Amino acid sequence: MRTVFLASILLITSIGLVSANDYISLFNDNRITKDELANVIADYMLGSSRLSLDEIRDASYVYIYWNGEPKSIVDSANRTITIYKPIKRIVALHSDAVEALVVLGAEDKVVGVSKYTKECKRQFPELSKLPSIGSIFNPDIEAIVSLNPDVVITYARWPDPSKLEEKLELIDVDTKVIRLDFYKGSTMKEEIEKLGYLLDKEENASKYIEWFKRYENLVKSRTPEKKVKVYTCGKKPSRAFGEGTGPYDLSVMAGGENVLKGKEGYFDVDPEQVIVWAPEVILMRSYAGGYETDDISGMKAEYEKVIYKSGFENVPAVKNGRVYVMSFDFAFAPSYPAALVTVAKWLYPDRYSDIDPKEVFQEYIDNFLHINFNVSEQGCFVYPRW
Amino acid sequence: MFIFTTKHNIKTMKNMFVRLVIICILCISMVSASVIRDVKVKTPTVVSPNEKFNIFIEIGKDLPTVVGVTLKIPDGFTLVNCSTPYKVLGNKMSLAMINDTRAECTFKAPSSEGTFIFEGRWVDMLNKEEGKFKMSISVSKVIATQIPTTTITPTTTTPTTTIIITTTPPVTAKPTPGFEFITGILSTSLIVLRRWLR
Repeated sequence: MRTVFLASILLITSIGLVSANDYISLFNDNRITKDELANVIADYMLGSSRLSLDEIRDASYVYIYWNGEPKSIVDSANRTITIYKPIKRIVALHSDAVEALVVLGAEDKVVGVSKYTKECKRQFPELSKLPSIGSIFNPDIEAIVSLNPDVVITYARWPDPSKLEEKLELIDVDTKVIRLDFYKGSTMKEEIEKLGYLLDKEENASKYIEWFKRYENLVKSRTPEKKVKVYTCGKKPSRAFGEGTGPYDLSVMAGGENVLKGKEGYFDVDPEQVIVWAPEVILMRSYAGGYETDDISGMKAEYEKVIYKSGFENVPAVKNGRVYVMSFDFAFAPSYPAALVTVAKWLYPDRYSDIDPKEVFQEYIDNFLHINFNVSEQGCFVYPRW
Repeated sequence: MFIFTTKHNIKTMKNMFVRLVIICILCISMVSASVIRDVKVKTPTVVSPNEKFNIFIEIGKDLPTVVGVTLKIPDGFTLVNCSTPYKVLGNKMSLAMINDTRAECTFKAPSSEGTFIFEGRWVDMLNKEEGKFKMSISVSKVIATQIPTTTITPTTTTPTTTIIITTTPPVTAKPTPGFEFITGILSTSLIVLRRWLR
């Protein structure tokens, strides 16, 4: 059955390929000129064009709104992505990309989501109803191809190209894979700007970036010279989140001095080492909370794993009650500035007595997600609770 | 102090209400009119044999525009030139109007008399709309009743006549048939209602 499906997709694709090549040939000199466009339109009107009406519409759009030129970006996997036609159909392999698309006002272009996004009924009331394309780690290529997307957006690191690009190339050369994370504060603005540019949503991107900068600058201006020592980890205290990870970036942007400086990625550490580092604050990343649950017990259990861990009672963060759990949905997504203010207030409570991070988060939900969601009454985003 | 429910006040409130409704209706009709694409093809209805005459294609919309037009040329007529690049295939011609709202094509009428049909279609490449048009041109040595145009300046020496051509509604556009009529009826009714309320 699978073979028949793939064979039929290959057949359809090979027929469409001729036309697709004709379309791309319009950009031979890297630009569609007025004469070239007039020529293909005149041919089409006479019934003698090799381009379809949709392709001619795309070429017209590119001529008028893109000055006749393709759009290019360098994605977060450091690859140059060039788009020759307006993006109309998007498969988002991760929820952070879905959220970024909502922030940009491009939710109408999303045609497929991951099985995890399908569970996000509160956060994405409409998009969670879209067809599933499997998981980020094991994308269902047949499901993706059947949705005929112009682009697939996924993380810079996951899935491995052998599970996505290499399989798509065998079937559908037209679909581009764009790797953008939307979970790290250090790259968020740039990624939003790039996707906004590709989708002709520059205005919405600017609005978000302006909001982001407001809180980024606020935190910068309030960070003292003598910084608080922070350790970042996952739900297990021995699972360290070093440089290049979301929690590490967040701790540094919030004004902390991370004890994992110089150590990259996710790795296990000896708990004894954590005791030696003696962090003043421990930040934990959790998958237990989020928009979809009001039950805080999962986050609480993870919190207790740290504070009751043998030997940790002498770690300053534990001794002084400065262990904090952050929901992944909240802290490592486009809502990042709200998490930034939250962590900054945890690190330097005296300097943020006038700021309520919950209000910043609500501002984000109201202005960018446009959902009916009250953070004071719904969801679990931090532990101990705000 | 708030008891001012005099006849005068009730009348004032009724007048305000009626004004508000009229303004709302006018606003709705203005908004609707702005989204309807209007592609007009203008031509003389009667020309002399062997005479050169112009056909004007006009897009009733602000820039930007990208519209493809095709026209079936009746037997005996010859396409002389167009103000925009064009192509001819058999008895059909086509052109693209890119950031133009007006194109002008010159044809030469046949030597024989008769009534001929020019028909064609247009496709808006930016707005997923399309439509058809059809017009008839009589070739006659005797120029009949002439209605001078106020919208175009003929380039030929022969006086042109009626120029408004029937265009069929766009296939994918969302026209509002009878909308103006209904708006008129409603507005009139409201004026009558207002007078009645006095």
